[in-house]
Amino acid sequence: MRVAFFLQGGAGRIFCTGSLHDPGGAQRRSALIIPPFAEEMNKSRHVLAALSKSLEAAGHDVLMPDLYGTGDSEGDFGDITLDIWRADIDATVARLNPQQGLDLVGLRTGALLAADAVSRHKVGSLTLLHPVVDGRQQLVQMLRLRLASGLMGGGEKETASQLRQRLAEGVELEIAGYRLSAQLAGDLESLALARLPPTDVERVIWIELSPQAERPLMPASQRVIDAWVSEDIAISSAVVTGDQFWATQEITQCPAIVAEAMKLFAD
Amino acid sequence: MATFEQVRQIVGDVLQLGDRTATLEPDTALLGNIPEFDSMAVVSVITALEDQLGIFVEDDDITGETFETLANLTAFVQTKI
Repeated sequence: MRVAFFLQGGAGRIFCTGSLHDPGGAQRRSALIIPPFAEEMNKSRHVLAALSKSLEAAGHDVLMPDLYGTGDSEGDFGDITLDIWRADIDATVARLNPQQGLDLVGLRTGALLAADAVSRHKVGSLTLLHPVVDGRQQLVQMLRLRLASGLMGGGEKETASQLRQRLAEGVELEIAGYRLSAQLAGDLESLALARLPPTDVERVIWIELSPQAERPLMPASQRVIDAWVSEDIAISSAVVTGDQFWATQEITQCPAIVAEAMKLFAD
Repeated sequence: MATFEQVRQIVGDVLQLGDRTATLEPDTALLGNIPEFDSMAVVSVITALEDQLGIFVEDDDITGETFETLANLTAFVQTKI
């Protein structure tokens, strides 16, 4: 049954969508989908909804939360902390009440949060969809957005080092309508896949999107995968051809990434 | 060596220009000319150049001129390789 409801999260009520089935019915696995960061989340809604429906059709209970300060959940973007988001994720897992195994799926920075959650839950598979390998990249991207608006507007030119200095002084920055707190900037920088090897999961699924066909994984991803393989982590990886829908101008569907995720899921 | 062709393809892919990609010339103006080229697009283009060409862009090196024309952008990328 498709569901949409509010759940008490780490610092306020968070909005969850997905599908849950009667606990007395057939036993189903549980899947938690963690969306990407800021504007990327808005652009990804259609794709993640399609993935959620595919997982339901494949026999999962599925929930996807709007984390605190995002989407339809309570809280302001400027008040987000990593610990609140961790508590949101844990509350969503608790609501899923996984009896038959829990699968975590994350897109972009959501993938970092999923890898971060592995240590707190018993996880079957961890699916990383075009993961942000290091949270610093996401921060760099946010700062660039502010610098890019400077390029367009004329006015006094800011530099990346000035912006970083202000964050270091605890000053929040407004970027494309999002209030980026010094706390969240630091929290983002603290997350990196290289430091979160998911040694306790049964397997990892790693999918990247490339606009051109027949491309290898990005070098930064390959380095992490090689390191994880050397720790005996089982990884299936694939590069799918398609537009990077979380960043495109127009809202785009991406059936290829959903199909690839479901295929690797079924393997 | 990143060619003009590679940079044009990346810009066209990011902006989803489709057939219009092939009409971009070295002196085609980008910022202020192509309607899709907003600040979000600037960020996406830089990220795509880094990911696909394996370069690292120092943000303080980027100026308005970098994104004035496709030739400027190509020249900028070539200094990073």
